[in-house]
Amino acid sequence: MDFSNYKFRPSSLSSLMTGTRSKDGLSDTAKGLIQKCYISQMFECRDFVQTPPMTKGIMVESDTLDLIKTVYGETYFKNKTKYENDFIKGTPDVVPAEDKIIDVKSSWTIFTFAAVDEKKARDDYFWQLAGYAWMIGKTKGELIYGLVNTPQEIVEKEIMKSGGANPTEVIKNHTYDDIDPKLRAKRFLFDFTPEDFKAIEEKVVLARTFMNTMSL
Amino acid sequence: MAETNDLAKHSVRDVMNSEYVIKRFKDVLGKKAQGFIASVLSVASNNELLSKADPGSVLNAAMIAATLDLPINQNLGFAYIIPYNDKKKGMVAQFQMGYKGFIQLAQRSGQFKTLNVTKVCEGEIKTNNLLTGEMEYAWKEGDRDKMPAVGYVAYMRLTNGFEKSLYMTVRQLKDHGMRYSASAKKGYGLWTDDFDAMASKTVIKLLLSKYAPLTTEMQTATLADQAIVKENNEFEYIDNTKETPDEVAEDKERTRIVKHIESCTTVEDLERCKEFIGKDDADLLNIFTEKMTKLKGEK
Repeated sequence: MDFSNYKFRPSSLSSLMTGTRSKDGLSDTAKGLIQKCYISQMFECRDFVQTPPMTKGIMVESDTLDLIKTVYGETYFKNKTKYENDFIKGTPDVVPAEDKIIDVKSSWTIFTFAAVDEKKARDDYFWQLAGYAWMIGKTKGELIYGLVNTPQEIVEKEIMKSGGANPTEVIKNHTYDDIDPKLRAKRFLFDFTPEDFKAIEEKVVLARTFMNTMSL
Repeated sequence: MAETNDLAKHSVRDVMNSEYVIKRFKDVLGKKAQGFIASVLSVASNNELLSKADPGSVLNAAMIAATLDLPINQNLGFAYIIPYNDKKKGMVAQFQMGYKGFIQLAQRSGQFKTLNVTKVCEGEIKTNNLLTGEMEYAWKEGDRDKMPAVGYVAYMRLTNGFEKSLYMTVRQLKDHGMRYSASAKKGYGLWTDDFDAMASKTVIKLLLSKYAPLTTEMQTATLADQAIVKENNEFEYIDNTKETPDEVAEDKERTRIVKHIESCTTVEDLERCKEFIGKDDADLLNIFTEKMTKLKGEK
């Protein structure tokens, strides 16, 4: 199989773009990611992991969009269009009319929400947003974190996991109606330059070359 | 059209009028077959969604009703064939028992002296013995139809003297609907349109399945209720299958769009959600178009 035209997902760019001093320009984290992509292409099996925080993220995205409307007065709907260019492909959360794309993150608990600051947001998601912006031809990316209630079925599983010892604590830890909505949303805006997009392109080319040399 | 696996290519009317199907109904119902088929066709032709449903699922649901000798007639309320839009299968027919159907089957078994269900209004519960589970009621006089219900109670007395009742509050019944019916969760379907009938059926069904001696017909009715009946008489409970996280997300976003449409006061505001309406979501497109017409009319 030839991987010379393989397109990565923007969500995997943070791993792919991690810094390195190695000769081939790819970090161990990047190589781990590339190996997963290689296996999924060659053997059609995905390394599928869906943790409870990820499940919550999928299920409550609309709730977070509602929270954004309440807090910032901005109405957004979830984008369903898939985008791609010659190097990456993916589906950004929100594509507003302005010169930006928006990615929405629904925090698992109040503790993970509180742990997010500009640096962490940038470290974790700068390249993902840059990828989305590049595909669509925009120059800014906004990351909005929201803290909304965890769906009941996930909370029930968490109670089971904790052995049912403290159901009230678990429920409280996943219910945030009593906290002012303004305290439950935060946003970070990133500007992207042509150099950022060029850096992604170069890294994808390196990754494709490496992928073509791989075997099990 | 002798083979049932060809059914999807035909209309409900074609299928129900085919020789093969008429023979199957005659084998079960004898002389009543033609009238039964006519009643199924009448229900299907008066319900656009049902007429578009997979004909095989309509046939199998009708066959279960025929096996139980329960007419499909909205006015009688013994059994229903309901359309259900399944994301994976498309429009399919679901068999639903009415509470009168359960009473009918109980009567036929010859084992019941009494089987009844009624709503309970505020102030009608006199005593509630938590130990025995027995409750005493002080039934109000007057037009009870106009009084709001606080609960529903089903009661049975067998010919051998055994008697039992089962009471559920309106709240418990609503929770039951939300738990076992995806359409109730989304705010439509029989739980929303005819709560009294669904609440009555639920208490009577639970009473029978917990405490009554069940005949084969009663067991079939209990199992087939709210199921899609498959070719080999297996039942699939499609209306209460768990949704995947992606499906939950999709439903929530759709609900947001509906709310947005309802709250729009200007054409410009309404236009914002247009591109997010799925091309195959005819219901949502209708809601959008109606609102657009209304807003343009007001302008």
